[in-house]
Amino acid sequence: MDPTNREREARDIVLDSIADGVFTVDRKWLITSFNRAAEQITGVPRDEAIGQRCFDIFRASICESDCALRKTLTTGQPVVNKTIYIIDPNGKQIPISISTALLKDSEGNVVGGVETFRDLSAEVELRRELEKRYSFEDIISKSREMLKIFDTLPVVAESDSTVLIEGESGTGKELVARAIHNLSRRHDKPMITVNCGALPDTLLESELFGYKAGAFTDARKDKPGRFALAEGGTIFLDEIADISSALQVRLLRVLQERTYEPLGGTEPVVADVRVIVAHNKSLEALVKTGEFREDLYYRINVLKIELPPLRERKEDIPLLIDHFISRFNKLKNKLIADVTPDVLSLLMAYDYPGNIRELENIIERAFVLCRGSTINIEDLPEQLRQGVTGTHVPSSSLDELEKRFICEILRKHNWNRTRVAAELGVHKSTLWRKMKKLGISVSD
Amino acid sequence: MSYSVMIIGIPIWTDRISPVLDTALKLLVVDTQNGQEISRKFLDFPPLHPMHRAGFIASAGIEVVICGALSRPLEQMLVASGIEVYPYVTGNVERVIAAFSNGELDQDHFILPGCRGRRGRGRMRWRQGRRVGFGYEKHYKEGR
Repeated sequence: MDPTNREREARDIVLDSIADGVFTVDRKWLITSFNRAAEQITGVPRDEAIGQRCFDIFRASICESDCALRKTLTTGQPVVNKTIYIIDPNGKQIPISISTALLKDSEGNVVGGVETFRDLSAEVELRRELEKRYSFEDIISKSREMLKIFDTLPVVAESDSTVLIEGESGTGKELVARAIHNLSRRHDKPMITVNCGALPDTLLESELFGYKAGAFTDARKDKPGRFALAEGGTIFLDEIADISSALQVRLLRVLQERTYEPLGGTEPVVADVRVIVAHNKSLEALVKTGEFREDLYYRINVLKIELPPLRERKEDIPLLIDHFISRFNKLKNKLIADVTPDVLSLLMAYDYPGNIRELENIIERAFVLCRGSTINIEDLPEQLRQGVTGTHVPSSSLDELEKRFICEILRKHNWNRTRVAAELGVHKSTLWRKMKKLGISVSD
Repeated sequence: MSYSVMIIGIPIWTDRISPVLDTALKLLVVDTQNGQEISRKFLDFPPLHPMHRAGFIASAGIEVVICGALSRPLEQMLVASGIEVYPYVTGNVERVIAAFSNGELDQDHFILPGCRGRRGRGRMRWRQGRRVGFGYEKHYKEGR
């Protein structure tokens, strides 16, 4: 081995022992070294990275406009702990902290730059979990119905009209509300969420509108309500139909006149707040049964978004499983890679009355019980395992067996129906008819 | 006379494809007719939330986006807007356009490193045993 190769090997051993990602570039921005942590964080193998332009490998939010390495090479000054994000080969935005420095040869000549970076995903995920701060990025779907909703979101966000979101519990109503807020001109103002079903009516009124000192016995000083806290931003009223008819009248007035009066107040307060409401049942049906005021319904039903239940967008289940596995790996510091085909079949066959939240809970529970790197049948709750005996022989109908088998092949071919049909030796349309019959739905 | 047109959007940086569509500053819009370029223009991306980028691209009449890396939410928004996306492309813009026209965008040197498995799933179109490009023929509409 010549000295150059020996030096390179020694350098790689040192670099690979570092937990942070490290890469170096020459003066032409070509990558000259790329350590193991860099491979893991970026998802790019070292042998594909070496010799390539750094921006094609790093794919960072600052590459074009504010490259830290360029700044260092131009000014000679290092950049320390700048937080940015990169995009991995799966389209995931990975938050990282970067630092840069000049790379010099033994004679002190600048020969390039070095960038070290640390994956902040776990910290960001923990912070999001603590603050319950989820966003559009957490809405995972490729279903036709959801794509239609995605298409309308920017337009809905741009208008300032009241939005009604309907969908069963666990379908992601708050995520959609947050996406609308984040995409709107109000995004830098607060979004305040109120679960109307969680508070008794008397308390809810003071929560929403606040009160003045002396309004009631314990009201020693003024307390701003949620509308005041959301000033300039958005208020999200979840489970709206759970409020009393008296409060419905007050809410109607706020929506009509854009003013409200705190309890004990005499002067109306102007509210510059966008209102998004949601409910887990059809408000129109509740209007028909007299449980919800018709005038309020028409006032809030300006823009309506109906979220499909998970059982009607089962093609999203594998995507959601991957998403939750990735999230819980970060939150629980585990390295679970996947679920077994049996588990996937069961999860595809289940109807999820609790929708995405229920699937999330199933995966979270499996994370607690799973001892290896793959989630097995034994890690699933009892109600899901019913109908499965032994390890691989499900005691179910022929249709169910067929469904599981097709799901397994679909999964194997990443839901590409052409390849699945080829493997099964049937025409694509035959496969499609069979999938429809068995209730396996996949968007085109 | 019937002819077919397609408008392609390519985020560019110097003479190359922008590494990240979400933060790209310039968009090259290429009008083509029967596979030949008839005009091109450059648009500056307005300072919008990345999620509004899909709307900006769609409002330019673009039907196909050829780009480098992009976030999953932005890809979702583009697909939801009816735009076909050819992601994880790298290289000199002129060569990429030529490769797209000739159905050669699947060549390794046009794929971002580490993204080979990510690209090409269901993208390649084959007709009568001949490769015709990344959905190229599909987009040419009659009589427009």
